[in-house]
Amino acid sequence: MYQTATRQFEGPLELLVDLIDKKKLSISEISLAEIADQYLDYLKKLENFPTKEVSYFLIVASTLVLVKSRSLMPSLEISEEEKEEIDDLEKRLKIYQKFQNISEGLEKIFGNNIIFSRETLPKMPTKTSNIVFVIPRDLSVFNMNKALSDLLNIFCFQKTILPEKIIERTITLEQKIEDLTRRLQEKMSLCFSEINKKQKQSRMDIIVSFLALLELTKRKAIRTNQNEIFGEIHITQT
Amino acid sequence: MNISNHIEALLFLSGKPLSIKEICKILDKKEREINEAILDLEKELNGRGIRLLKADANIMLGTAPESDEYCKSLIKEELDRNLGRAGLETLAIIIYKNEGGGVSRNDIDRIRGVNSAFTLGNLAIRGLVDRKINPKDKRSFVYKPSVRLFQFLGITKKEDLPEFEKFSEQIKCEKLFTIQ
Repeated sequence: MYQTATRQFEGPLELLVDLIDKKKLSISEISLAEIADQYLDYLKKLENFPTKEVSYFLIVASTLVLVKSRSLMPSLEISEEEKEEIDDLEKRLKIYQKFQNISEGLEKIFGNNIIFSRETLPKMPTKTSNIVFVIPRDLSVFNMNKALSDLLNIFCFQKTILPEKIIERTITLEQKIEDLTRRLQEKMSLCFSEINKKQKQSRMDIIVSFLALLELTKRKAIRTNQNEIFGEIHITQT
Repeated sequence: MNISNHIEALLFLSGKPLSIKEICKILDKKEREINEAILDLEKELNGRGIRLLKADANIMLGTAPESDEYCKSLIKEELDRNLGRAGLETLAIIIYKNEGGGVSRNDIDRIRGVNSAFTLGNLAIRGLVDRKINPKDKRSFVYKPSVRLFQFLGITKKEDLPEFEKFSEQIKCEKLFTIQ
């Protein structure tokens, strides 16, 4: 059976280069056909499939299946596009392998002969000094308390204040209907302008009053009469 | 005093990377003159305890990489050398693909065949790469090697990297961006 890869591979190119390297092959269509099964095998055995990268792995898998089929059936005709796909994969692998080689070289020299600058100096503690936690001068229970309440205020501000304002302004339609019915019981008839005269009414109040008027008319609880456009609306009990 | 002496003074005082543009402005000289003076300064400092670092368009004075051992014993540095495969690959691409304009995340993703956003973020936090807005597409960024990266690699310019010319020539020949 195939050797199971123990390393976790971040992407499909990394996995392919590793498989080809293990067989000591160079990158070509032939070597891709040879490792296609192992590639698919790796994907099948993967328990924690990296869901984010899944599409990268699958696109490459489909190309590998194509390569493998072509190696088994040389008579298989493939389209121009498919040929390009295979060539692309080969090319990308070669480029990726090159950068991998370079990165191995970088790893060898990274941090070995550091060039220090004056800027690096003050940030780093010297050998002779001990790292201590210095309590800031203005640290007190009062300041901590204030900092915490300031912080809480920032978070609570929007949550509490905003809805309060909305509640203040809202007059429900039900309240208006009740109000209107009550008034009509006291008086036999009313004018629409009278309803809104009493207190300082907002535009929203007037709209709600009008809606209440419409609703009561619909329920046949009141009778309304308007003689001209924009004229006074007279309301009487039915 | 000549221009290179003045540049040396500025770099010593600043203690951190200065861009060539900044130096041109301060000394009121053309970029060509400044670049020549920088080459002179680089030659003068060769064989001394202080070296001139040049990463992209930024220059800085640093200690000679050969003094690394002694400098390390003066500075107690927590050296986290481990960059991981992904980090090293990404750095390799940023160094070798950069022809002055930086390398976009798109290019890095395409070469590595995976999303490199996380790796790039880590490298940026460690100060090993510089991030700039992509002049060709303002919605994205390009990445360049930082002076700090060169400090950790112990090189004063990218040409100091082993087989730099050979590799970058090969990379150019591969016609990287004909893909897709």
